[in-house]
Amino acid sequence: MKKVFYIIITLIFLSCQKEEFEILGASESFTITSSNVNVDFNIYIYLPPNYPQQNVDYPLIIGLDGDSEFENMAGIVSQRIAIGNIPASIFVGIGYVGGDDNESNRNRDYTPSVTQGVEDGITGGADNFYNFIRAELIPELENKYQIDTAKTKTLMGHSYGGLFTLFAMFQERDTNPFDKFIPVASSFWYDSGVIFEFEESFFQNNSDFPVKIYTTMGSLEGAVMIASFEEMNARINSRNYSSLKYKNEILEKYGHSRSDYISYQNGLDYVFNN
Amino acid sequence: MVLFFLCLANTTFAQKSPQNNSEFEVGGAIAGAEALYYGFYSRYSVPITKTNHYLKAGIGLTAYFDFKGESTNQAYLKDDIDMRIIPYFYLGYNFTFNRFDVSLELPIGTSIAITKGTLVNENIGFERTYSNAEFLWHYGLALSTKYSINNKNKVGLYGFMPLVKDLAWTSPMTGIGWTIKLGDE
Repeated sequence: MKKVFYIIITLIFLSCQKEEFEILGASESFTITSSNVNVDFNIYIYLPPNYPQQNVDYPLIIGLDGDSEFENMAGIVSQRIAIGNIPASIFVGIGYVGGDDNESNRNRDYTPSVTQGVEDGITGGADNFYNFIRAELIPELENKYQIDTAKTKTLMGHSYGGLFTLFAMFQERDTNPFDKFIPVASSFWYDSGVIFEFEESFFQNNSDFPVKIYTTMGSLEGAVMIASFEEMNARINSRNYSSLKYKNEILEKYGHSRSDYISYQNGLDYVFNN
Repeated sequence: MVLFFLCLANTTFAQKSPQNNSEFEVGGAIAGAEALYYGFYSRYSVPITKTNHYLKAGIGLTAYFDFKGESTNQAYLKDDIDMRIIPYFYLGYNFTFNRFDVSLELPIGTSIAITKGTLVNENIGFERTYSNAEFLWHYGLALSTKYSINNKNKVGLYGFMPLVKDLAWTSPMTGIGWTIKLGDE
């Protein structure tokens, strides 16, 4: 029985090991009220080591699902900075005041169209949420911190967060604050693939796409997700945008929930080095 | 290897006056973490000690299917399969209390993930076929409880909690099953 006990303990220990990333730098947070969304947001800030340095404007990276994912995402950003894969950057996680209701908040803010059949509340608020980020949050951040004010910021998100990242990607270039995108395991199934309509609309109005995109899907997602992912890749590649840097990967042996951290790591390396 | 081990265990540890019996169990199951799967499981076990509470070893085969996935009315799959086939070996310890058996088990095996189908998206206007098969680890802890309804038959519940790092490999599962005692009483 002793051996059996040791085997059980070993298995439990191995299974409980979770990727953890040490944060090198400082963290803080503040609250902002959005007139576009009509809610209060918790904004989590990661500042790199030795911030602020004189005459340095730091790149800004924004991640979604800040309430649950800020620590890990900030850890990943910190790690990529520490090993020299990306420049010293400020990372911001967007969360909600009263994060208990996070599910209905993200259903509202990360979805690009109103549809039935989504549990937990209202949908279709992506436009308002995008305008909050663009016209309220980023100006506030640029006011508070030493952030590069060029429209070269990075946006990353997973699942519904990936769907919103795609939505932001297909917004008008002239006013878009982002030129680097990392949509992970994006919810292509949402509203029968409505995100394809935004891609088509973008193509109809733009001859070039001067952005960097790294996107992934776990190979253990369902066929709706993976086939849609492959369709989106095929469509974007067929547009022949001359300035676009685009990399897509199917992550073998990854399901939906576990694909985020590896994708953020690889994605940050890609969008900052291509 | 598994068959060899079972045969070896059966002959090496066979009881001269069988107090515990080999058993065959079959049942229906629901599994899932990221998606909901429905299927069945079957297991064959042999006792390897002859005490009232006893060690046992066995093999099992589980198969479950996701019948809906993330299809919608306007974006759906045709000719699709999304399933896991899980052959495994297990060691367990069985506690016997009158008509009740409670068994703690350590299953280990492989989970074969098969996903294929053609996505028909009428909303956007495309069709795309996808297929994939992968071999993944299956291990964790299992708990089985059974009630003897007579000398040959038992009914019971089976639960499995995976310890793998991705629950898309093999999912938490619960089942209800029928067990037949094999061999002499």
